[in-house]
Amino acid sequence: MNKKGWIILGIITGIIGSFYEFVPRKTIRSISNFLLFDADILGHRIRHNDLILIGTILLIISFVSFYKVYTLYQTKILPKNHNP
Amino acid sequence: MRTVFQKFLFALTVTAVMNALDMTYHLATGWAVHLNYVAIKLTVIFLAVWMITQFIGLGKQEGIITSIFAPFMFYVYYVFAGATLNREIFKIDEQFWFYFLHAGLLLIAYFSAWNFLHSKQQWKKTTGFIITAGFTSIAFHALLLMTRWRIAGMDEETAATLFTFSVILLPIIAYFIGIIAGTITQTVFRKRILSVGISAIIPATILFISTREIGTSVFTLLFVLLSYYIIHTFKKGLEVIHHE
Repeated sequence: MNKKGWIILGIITGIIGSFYEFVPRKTIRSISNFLLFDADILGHRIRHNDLILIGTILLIISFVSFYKVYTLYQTKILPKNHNP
Repeated sequence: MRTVFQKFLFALTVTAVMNALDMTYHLATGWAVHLNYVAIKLTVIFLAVWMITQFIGLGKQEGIITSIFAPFMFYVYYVFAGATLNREIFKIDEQFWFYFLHAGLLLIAYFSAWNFLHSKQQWKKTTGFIITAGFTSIAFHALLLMTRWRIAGMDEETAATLFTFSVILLPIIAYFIGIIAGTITQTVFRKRILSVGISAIIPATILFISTREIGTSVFTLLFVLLSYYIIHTFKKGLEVIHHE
């Protein structure tokens, strides 16, 4: 994946992750009940803490994406045989 | 594909060692160790370590950033998740100062594995290996204990009460005696099979004598063999990004 792809991934996962991590459950419910995924999946009820965990995972993906962009930028500005 | 698997195993080992160190600290100081919290910690720490190793690389800079970032994400989870365990009875590691403890333990776990892989000094390599193999086995053992209680139908609060430092102290001693004896055997006789055999048989025997449970003994043997397999598999072919 190129730099642009990593940036897009970072932004999308960052927005969705932050939404589920930081926005209170009541606010999410007021936007739409559907966003809470209030359903049973394989006998497991989706709870608020599950959504927080998914938000945390998405934020990890977002951080790694931006870190990747940083490393790609570093390799671009530094010559291959750079040795500080 | 081979490197993907090795990076996966590296992340798994670092996560297991960090969790085992953390659990040992919690039990020694009277903080509760609870299966659901351990599961969340394993998931968040593993994902952060694996994703950075897979997509960025393996090195000193990556190790430091991983050690700062992974416990931070775990702390963020704690802050925003709802409490499921009675905090009046159980003390859980959700206070902010635990972030520094988790970061320190992750640094130890990451750089033990890293030194085992890439250090040029033999003593650092050996110490890294003993810490990594020992605490990986202890992590599996702790998981076995907690899973057994869960399968037996014990509720999570009773299981957290039962899990004290005295429960894990003997396995810690047994695993380290075995692994250190195995390392010495490897240094003296230079025979890998003999070294692995001693590392696995000694803790299995100690735990069999003390608990009289053949099941625990067999699992101990398997955990050491599994740890050795994981560590020697990820050792093959992992590249380091030097940022010195």
